[in-house]
Amino acid sequence: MENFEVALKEAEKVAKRQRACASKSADSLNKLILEVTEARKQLSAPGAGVSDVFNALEGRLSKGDVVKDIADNTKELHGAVNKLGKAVDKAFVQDICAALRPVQLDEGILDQVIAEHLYQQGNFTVGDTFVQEAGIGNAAALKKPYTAMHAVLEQIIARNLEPALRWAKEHQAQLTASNGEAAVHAFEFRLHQLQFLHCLQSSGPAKALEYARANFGPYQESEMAEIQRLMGCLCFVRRPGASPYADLMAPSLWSDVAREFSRQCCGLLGQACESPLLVAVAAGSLALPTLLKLATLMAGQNQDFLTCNQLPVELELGRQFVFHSVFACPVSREQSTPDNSPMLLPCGHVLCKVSLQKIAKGTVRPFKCPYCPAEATLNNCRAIFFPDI
Amino acid sequence: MTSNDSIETPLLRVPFESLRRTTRERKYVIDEVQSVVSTLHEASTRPCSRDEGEKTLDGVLQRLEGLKRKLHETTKVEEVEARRCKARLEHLVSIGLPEKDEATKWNDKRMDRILADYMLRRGYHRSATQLARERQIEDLVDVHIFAEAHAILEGLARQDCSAALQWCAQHRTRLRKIRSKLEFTLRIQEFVELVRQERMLEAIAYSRQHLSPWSDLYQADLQRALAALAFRAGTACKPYAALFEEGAWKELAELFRKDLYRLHSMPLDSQLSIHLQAGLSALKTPQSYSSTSNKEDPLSTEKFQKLAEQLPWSKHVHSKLICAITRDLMNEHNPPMVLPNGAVYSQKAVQMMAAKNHGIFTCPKTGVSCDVNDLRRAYIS
Ligand SMILES: [Zn+2]
Repeated sequence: MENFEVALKEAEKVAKRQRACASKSADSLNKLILEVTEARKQLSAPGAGVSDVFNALEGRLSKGDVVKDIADNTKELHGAVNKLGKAVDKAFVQDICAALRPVQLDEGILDQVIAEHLYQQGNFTVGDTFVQEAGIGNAAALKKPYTAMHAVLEQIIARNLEPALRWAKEHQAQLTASNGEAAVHAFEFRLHQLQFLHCLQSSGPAKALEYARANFGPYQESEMAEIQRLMGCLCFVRRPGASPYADLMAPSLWSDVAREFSRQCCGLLGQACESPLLVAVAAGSLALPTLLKLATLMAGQNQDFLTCNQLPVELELGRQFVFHSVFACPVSREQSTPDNSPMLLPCGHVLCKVSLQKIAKGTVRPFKCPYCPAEATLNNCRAIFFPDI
Repeated sequence: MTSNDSIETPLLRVPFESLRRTTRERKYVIDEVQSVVSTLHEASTRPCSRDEGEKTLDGVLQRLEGLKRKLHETTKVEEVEARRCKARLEHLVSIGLPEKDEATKWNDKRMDRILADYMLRRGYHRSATQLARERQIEDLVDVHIFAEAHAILEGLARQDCSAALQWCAQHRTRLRKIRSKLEFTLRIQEFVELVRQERMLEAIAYSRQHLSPWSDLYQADLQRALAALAFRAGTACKPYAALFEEGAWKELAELFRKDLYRLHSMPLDSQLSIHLQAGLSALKTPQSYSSTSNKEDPLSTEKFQKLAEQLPWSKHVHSKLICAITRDLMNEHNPPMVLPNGAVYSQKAVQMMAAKNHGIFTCPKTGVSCDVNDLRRAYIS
């Protein structure tokens, strides 16, 4: 960040220098042209001495230092540009392709993935142009799932929850089947809650109460505490900011509901809630600095980074990018596989099967856990598994 | 941030190198001005006739006017590139660095320009310009470079080298510096086309004029091409068949693209491919490929699996365990609990469900129920 700020300052200086240099150089050059034009005029006047004219011109030019001015300005501009160059060198990696394998990503598939990304992001205009230019055949199919979703999202952003509520009602059965009744109830109630609050702010307590009576019934049991809070709101309408219910008036509730809606929607569509292309690029942005350093390092040691079939180091991308439970055996440092499953020892420590068999030396005799003084035998260890998320 | 580890290299390199080149051109112009002035000085030191004097001054004026025009051009380019450098750095400062666990949101702010760059490289000019305009990222995208390339690539697609050759002439010095083989290859192609059309005499004349100057650099290539005179199009003879192939035009377009990128200090690959290769490798786990895989994992879809086909697997030497019920990380604060059937869930999930069901926990995957007291804590380092 600091590097960017330094470079930005240098870029600002360059812009300033460039303006100064350009205008001064143009002025000087114009002056020069003017003087020469003048001399040319004098020369054509009858009776003018050729050497007089030239000497006078020479005199005017050297007195004005025209040429030196231009040269100095240019030098200053060059100085500023060089400084910017150094700042840029300092901020950015030299070779962004250093970790790149010479494999070509399948461009046809990549185009489809991009089209889908554009549609999922709601960028329909560019999506349509792209699909046309890239000659994607199944464009309508790529776009369709997101059409209804984006009409509803646009309405949520415009503070209209009707279409979202209608959508939730229409898809109640499917949502219940995939998320469970409780989750669906909670989602529906969130919509009603926001609609109630919106009603309260825009049309007053009477209308809000009417809305509550018409819609909160089915949620009496599961959401009683929240309903009590909402009713409590009714007496604080005039100063919602100062009320104990200020959190219910936050504008972020709307974007939260919009996000929740698109998650639910994508979920029903069998899609990921976040654009997979964006997720992959984001993972890349986190992985790249490490991979680039590694590629340079390994190239120096004659090891080939570009041909290994597993990355040579572990990359910590953060919780956002953990989509599966990964068990790595603390002894062998290898990931578990269906054939080499994690095993629970009686003491509660967990090792991979292969590591365990090595420690037990293939016998049924007791052995010591490598992490605590407890003893175990192969017979009293059992396989465990981490269900899919 | 430590030194030089920003991955936005192309964003800055492209306008900066152009700026540096242009300010250098300014210096050449200024040097010229100086040399013009010194001719004036010279003229003033030796006697000459009025006629000669007039001629000298007319010559000087003409050169100065020419230089003025050049300087004007230079200034315009400098202005644009300096503005681009500034705008791009301002953008980088404004998006800042990703906060913890906000990488996806952060990349959303970079994504449009990464996509526009990819579209331009693929020749999807309308999509790219539309995207740039709509998202107001025109200063962050190198549309201008591809606009220049567009006509040339169209020419090559029509099997016409003229625009490309013109471009080579325009950038001759710099192309020579990067040891570009483009012009030579274009010439060979034009020659081969003459041979294909059986216009042998013209082919020979062409080779004398346009191919022979390259004989020092590419003797072997040149000799092989000239021998084509002895064959016809459709020959099965190995190296000559390749010369006549339609694919040669596609290769020519690729060669042009590469030189275009090199000339403008752009990486040969798009930021999109660079990011995807790194990102897909970092995400690629055997679990992605299971039929019950998490659909939030890009690699759970067939398309991304295909994209990741030749990429390495990620490496994990530390366990990362996620509870399938709450989706929370399991660690010492929320330890993993093992059911009698071996399934593992987080303590939080177990307690939550047990509280609702009188101390009975039911595994949502297998349907097996058990008393919470029968669960065992696992210690995972
Ligand atoms: Zn132990």
